[in-house]
Amino acid sequence: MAAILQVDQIEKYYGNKGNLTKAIDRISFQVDKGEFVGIMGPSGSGKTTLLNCVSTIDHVSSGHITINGRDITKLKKNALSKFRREQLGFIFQDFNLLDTLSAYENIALALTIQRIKPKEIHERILQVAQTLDIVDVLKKYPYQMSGGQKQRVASARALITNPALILADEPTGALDSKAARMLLDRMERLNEEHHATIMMVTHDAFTASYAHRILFIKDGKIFNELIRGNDTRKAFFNQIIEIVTLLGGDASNVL
Amino acid sequence: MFCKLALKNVRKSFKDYLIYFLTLAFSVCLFYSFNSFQAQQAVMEMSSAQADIIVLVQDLMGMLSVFVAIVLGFLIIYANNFLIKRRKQELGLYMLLGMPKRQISRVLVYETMLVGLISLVMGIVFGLLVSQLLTVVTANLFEAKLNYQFVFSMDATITTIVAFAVIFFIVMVFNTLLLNRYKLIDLLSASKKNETLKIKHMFVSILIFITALAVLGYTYHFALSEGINALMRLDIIAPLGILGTVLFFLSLAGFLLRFVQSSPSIYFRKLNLFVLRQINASINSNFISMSVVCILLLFSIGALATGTNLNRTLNHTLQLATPYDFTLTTYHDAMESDSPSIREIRKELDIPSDQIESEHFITTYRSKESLSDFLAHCQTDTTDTLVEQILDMQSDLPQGMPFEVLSLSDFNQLRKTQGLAEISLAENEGYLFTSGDILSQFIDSILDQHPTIEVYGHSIHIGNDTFDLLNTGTTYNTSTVMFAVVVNDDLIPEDALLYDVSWNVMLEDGIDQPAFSAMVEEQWMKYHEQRSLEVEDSSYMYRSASAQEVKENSKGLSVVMTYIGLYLGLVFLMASALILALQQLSQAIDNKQRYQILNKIGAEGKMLAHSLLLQLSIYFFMPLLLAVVHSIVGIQVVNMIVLAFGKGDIFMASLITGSMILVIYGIYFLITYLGCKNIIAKS
Repeated sequence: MAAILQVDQIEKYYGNKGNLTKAIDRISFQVDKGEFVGIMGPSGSGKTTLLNCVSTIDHVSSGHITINGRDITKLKKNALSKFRREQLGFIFQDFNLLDTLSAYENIALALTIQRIKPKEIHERILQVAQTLDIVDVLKKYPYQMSGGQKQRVASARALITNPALILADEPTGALDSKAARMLLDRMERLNEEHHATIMMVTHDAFTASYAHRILFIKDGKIFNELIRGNDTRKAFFNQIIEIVTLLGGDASNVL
Repeated sequence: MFCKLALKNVRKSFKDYLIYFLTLAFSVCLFYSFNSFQAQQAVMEMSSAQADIIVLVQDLMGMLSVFVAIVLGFLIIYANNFLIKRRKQELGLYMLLGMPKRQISRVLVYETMLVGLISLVMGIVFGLLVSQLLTVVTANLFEAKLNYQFVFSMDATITTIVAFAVIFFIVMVFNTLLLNRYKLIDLLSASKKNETLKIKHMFVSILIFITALAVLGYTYHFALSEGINALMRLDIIAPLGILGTVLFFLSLAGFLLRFVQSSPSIYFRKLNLFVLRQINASINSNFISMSVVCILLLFSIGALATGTNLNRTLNHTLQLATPYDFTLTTYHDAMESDSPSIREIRKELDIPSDQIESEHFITTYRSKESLSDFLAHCQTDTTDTLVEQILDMQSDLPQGMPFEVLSLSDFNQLRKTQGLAEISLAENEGYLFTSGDILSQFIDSILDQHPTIEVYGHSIHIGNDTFDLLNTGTTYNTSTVMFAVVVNDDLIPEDALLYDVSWNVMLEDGIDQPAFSAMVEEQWMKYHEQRSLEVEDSSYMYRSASAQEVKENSKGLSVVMTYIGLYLGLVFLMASALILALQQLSQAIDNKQRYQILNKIGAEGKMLAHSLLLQLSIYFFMPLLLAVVHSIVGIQVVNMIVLAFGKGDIFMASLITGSMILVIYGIYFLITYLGCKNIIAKS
């Protein structure tokens, strides 16, 4: 299958000559079309930096990131914004909905900045709202919605532009377990039925178990890779837990 | 160590301080310039009367400055509050590191002193430049000769320094108090505070908006129909106007939103829906300030326009009001016809004839018929408020308000001495004229009809098509006659009642006009004393005026009005721009997160800047727009009043006022835009 995302030997440094921190240390991987990839790792492992680099919010120090055939490390600032709104969709931990706008308008905004005609906007919103089961909250404002509803509205906003890649940063971080499960079910359906390509960063093993493949990152390097294959989610979850335990520290770390 | 910290802080947050700097420097500059009049005297050739006016201006400005200093003080404290609010987290950090509040307030005191000192110096430097400009303006207003040299006013410098030292001291005390009230937790979590959102029902907004328009429309109509009386009815106009303005801004955002929503192709275009929602969301905290700004701007426009217009108006009218070097007029009542007129008294006055080049008397008579009878012969609109008022003026007289009658020989005397061709009248023909701009339109409308009216029982046909504005003597008032009909001498009966008699004098070259005036006055008093007559009573009075005195008086009035207008206008203008600027800057900080979100979902910088510009434009220019509409109506009304002083050049006044507003308002708008953009870009 064609690779949507190709990450090639990327490095990200912070600080200056005297005091250099390598947040990402030569990471390479690829995500194919229709894949649901999870990225896991402890705090400070570099997973958020990786996501920021992929999402064009941050720049890499060296290496190349190719999304849908375009090398985003070579794009200029304005081209990046254009690329971002046309090729990427974002789901954030804290939803990042605009509190002054209704759900409908929040979703519409992703299209209006692409200068899409209002009639088409309306049709596409109704369609995506049905998929995510938020038709009856479209008229509500964020402060009138539950956390789960908010995150589904945010997902609808990420999805409506038909992005090549959906990037989710701790999407269940601010949700209770029931809402989290509902959201993940929807994301799974998006992946299976609409063939959406999703890259999700999380440190929650349950959330990660919805992915098909998980990359584990530690100290800026890929530490391990886990593929679900035909396992049930429960079996996959147990595998994840094992690795997470391992990630927590080698025996050598314990004195 | 604290000094160094303060210095670094100021340098670091220079962009935040920019608006504070600007306001301070601008305030100092204004304050200095308008307190430096005394020093201007040195470079101008002025008469003693003009010097008196400069003293008057200086005193008036001194008094106004107290008021202005209070306003500026509040503005500076407001701006300072904004800065402290922006730096809450930084202050919290100092506290967290264990710095005692005493020391933090010391840093703040040093900072205030530093900023104050720099802006004081800058302001005075600018003030020096502006006061040079003002000197030229003053000389121009007085038509005085200017021996130009650099003008520096020690008094103004000291006054400015003292006033601002007091203001800075208050700011320091205020900062210390503010700091003591803060709790560490509030300082550190300052940025996390959310504003509560209230989303009102749309139809309520629309209802309020329509009400606002109706109230404003009614107020405008009322003010315009009251015309010259409008100032007396301010008790109705002002509250209604304020109510309309407040309602307008309360519902503006909701209305705009609803209005634009009805056109999806605009609403769902780029960030339009975000901008509109944004404005709608913060309207609760903004409508009061927008209303206040609108009203301040109205004051400002009014003050600036009056200040720049009145001078021109007066200049135009002055020529007309001073045809002779000296005039003494006696006014006569309808009831007592036996009081002596100047024509009889003149012989008794001991005035050296070698001072007088020429002299003559002009008599106007009271018509037997009333003005309303006169107007009944013409198909003109007498519901004109002004005419109505004139008709009302002597309604207690049994025969009503009369009009003036002049004999042809007197009238030709006037025309000849004022450089106009003499006229001749056919039998039973009359010539109608007025001497003030205020009625000229109305007179024109009568002349179009060539009516036949009754004068002393004769039918008189008004024959002239046009007329020249003409005064019967030199006068402090701008006009001496209102409705005057000139008829052949023999039509005026022997027993016709006097209206007034003017003694017009042209003096020999080199005779001092005010001195002559004083001498006549003295003679006049002596005459009355000798005969133990009342100099003036309710039925009999006199006025004397020399051309020079009238001119200086009028120039003085215009200088005073111009400067009061400019001073207050500029202060109000700055206040309104600053209020808006600070409010928008602090809201930009609150909105930082929203712009971050927009950026993340792929709105490019240009689009964000565009939406910011749109948003700020609405905040800045909506109040200005409404204020302009208010002032157009206001100036219409004021014009009816100013017309009493003569016709002004509204175009020039609007041009000057407009450009001043655009420059100052524009600078604040620009700084706000750049500041907000900077705040947003930082995310």
